[in-house]
Amino acid sequence: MTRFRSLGARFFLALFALLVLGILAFGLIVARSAGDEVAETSAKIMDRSGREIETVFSEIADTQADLMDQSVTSLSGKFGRELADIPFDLFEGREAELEALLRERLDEMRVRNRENSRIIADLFRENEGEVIRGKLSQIDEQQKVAVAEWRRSITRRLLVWGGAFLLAVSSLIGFAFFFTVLKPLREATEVVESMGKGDLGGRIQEQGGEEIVRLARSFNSMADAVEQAQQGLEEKVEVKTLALREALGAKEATNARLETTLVELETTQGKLVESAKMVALGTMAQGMAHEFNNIIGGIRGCATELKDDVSDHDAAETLDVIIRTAERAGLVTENLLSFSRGVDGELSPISLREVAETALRLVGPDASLRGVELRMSASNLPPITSDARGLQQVLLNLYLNALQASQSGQKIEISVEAAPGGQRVLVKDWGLGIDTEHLDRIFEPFFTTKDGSSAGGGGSGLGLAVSHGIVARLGARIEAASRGPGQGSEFSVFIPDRESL
Amino acid sequence: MAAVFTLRAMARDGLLRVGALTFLMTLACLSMHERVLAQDISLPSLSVGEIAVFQWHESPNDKKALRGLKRGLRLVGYEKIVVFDAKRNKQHAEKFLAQAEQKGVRCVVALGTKATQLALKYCPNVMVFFTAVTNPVLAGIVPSWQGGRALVCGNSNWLDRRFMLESFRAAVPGLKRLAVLHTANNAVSQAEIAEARRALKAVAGKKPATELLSYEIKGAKDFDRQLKAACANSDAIWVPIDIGLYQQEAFAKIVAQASAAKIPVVSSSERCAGRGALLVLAVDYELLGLRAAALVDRVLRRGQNPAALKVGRLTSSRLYVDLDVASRLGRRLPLPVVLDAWRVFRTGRPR
Repeated sequence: MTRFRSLGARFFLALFALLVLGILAFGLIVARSAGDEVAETSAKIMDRSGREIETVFSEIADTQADLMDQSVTSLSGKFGRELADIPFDLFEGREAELEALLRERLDEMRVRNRENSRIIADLFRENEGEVIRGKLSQIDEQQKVAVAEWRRSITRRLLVWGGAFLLAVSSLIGFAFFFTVLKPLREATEVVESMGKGDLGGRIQEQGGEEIVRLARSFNSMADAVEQAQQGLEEKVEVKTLALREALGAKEATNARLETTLVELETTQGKLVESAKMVALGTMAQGMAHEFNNIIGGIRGCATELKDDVSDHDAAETLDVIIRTAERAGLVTENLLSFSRGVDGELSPISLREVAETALRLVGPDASLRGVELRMSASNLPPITSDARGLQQVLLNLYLNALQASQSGQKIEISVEAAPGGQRVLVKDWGLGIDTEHLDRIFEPFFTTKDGSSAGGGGSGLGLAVSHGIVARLGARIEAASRGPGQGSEFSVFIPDRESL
Repeated sequence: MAAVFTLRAMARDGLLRVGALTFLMTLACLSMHERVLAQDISLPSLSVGEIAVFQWHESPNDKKALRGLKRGLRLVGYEKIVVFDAKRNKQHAEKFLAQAEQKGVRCVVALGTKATQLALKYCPNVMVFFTAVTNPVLAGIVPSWQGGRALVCGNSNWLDRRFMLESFRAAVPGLKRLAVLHTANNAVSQAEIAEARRALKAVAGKKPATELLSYEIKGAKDFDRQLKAACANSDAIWVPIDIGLYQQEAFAKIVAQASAAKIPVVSSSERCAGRGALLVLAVDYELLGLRAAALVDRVLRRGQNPAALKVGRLTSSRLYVDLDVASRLGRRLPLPVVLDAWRVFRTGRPR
């Protein structure tokens, strides 16, 4: 069997064996049955031929009998007429001569009849020959038909048996091909695919034909080599990865430090810029405020004195307006001075609620004039350490801004509440609102969104900047939010507990 | 030639000289003719008690009849028989017959129609027996088939024409038009045709199944035209007993033309048998001769009144069929016709 390990050898051996089997099967099944059919068909043809020939001979015999009958009838008729024409009276007493004459005529008739009979026999032979040839031709045709039928039958059978045989052979070859070639190849493919996915541990089983075994062996050797190379590579990669990770960690720490430093630098720069700005502004504002304060003081003093002397009601009202405007102008200059000098209030435990109510009372009359409703809600909160005066100024600024932004019939809600790590005051109005793009700049000095058409005239742009400065100094936090123009705005002031600072 | 010479002489020498010359030439011609006659005629010498047998010419039928006649006469003891063949020479015939009348022969036996007519003309006082006469009534030999003429009796080669036509139809199935050729002034063929017409009427009643088309040939130049017409218009050609037709050259022409037209030739003349005719129906002339001898015996020895003797006719006939001709024409003769044949011609041998 060692000679047939090769797939080719096995294939040819199987083919040869199947061929031999096929021939044997053909010999046993088809040829044998065909032989039986041939014998049967031949017997049928012979039987039919015999019957045909019998019929032909019977017809010939009948014809011959008819012919003989007609011949005898014709001959006797002829002879009778001949006798009738012989002048027998001529032969009275001359019987010998009569006999001679009759014999002579009979002989002549016999000779004629013999010749005629031969010709007629020849004619019949030809005719019968034609008939027999015709019959034989018919038999031949029938035989041809039978042979053709037999051929068709054999062909049909050959096709059936041949087809079955080919099916069986192809099935066997298919099975053999599957088990000897396809299955090992499929397993090898699976192993190769798993190797492709990274599993280098798979190996092809060394089974099947010699060619497949050689292929598996070669492949397994190659897989061993690849696996070893893979292991070496992995180790190298691991070492390199560790080194890279360490380097990356150091770099990240450096980056973080750099970022922190950068943020601090930016903050510092911002503060420096703001401080310089504030210093410059403070210097300029201080001078201007001092001068304006003196002027405004003079105006207010004169208006107050004049009011006391005026009895005209309209003039008195006009003087009141002058006085209030002067007071407001004084407040502005005071703010400006506060901003430029900075407020260094005293820190003490205060009630945030009371501070808010006090500031609210200050803007109450103005709110009534404007037709704006002020609502306040406050929780019972513990005292908190802060600058009451500074906070009051901050809240007063926020109340005035809300009033100036609101229309008649609108409301302003003020709530004082606890917040994580401190307390908070919320001032919410439904007035003009602030553009989102202005939110970042509203705490800058002299930045204002109010124009001259607003209820309180144009703003100085210092209220929120002063408030921001106070809050920043107290360690508190002020934030602004708006839902957009016409949607109102909300300011919150968060005062932290001193412990948390 | 003499006429031409005479005309030339008249033109050259004048009328008198021409007249004399013509007279001399006529004398010379007559002299030459007599000399010729004297040379040709070898009249047999007749004597009292002899039987003179006379034939107009020696036809095969006459020869056969003569053979039968001689046999019969010798059988009953008439040994003195003088046979004379006139060879179609009327003067010879006249001379012989006149001699027979003059010498007092016992009787004259005439073979054939023409011979009988001459015998009756030149031997009015001698007993005349006739044989092989187709229609003695039509030929004016006897007043009827019952006989009835003094010093005359005989037999006929008459064939039952009905039988003859039936035989023709049997041999040629689908025979509608039968063309019959005959030469002008031939008493025999005319008699045959008349018999056939009568038979057709009798057979078919009102409308004959077969139409008989007669083509009379009035001369050698007319032969081809009539033959062509007959071949074109008929299903078969009948050649009757007519010496102008059954002779070698004429009959060969008829057969060739008919074969080209794919129609068969049938005949009532035995001479046509085996020479291209599909079917020939004839009588046994030797038997006729023998029967004529019996008549002679009845009258001369037994003393029967010849006028009371009917014209004898045969009941038997001789049928000849030619299978080669049938094969050439692509026809097949029915078996009964072949079986009835006296002689069947066939040269083609079977394989």
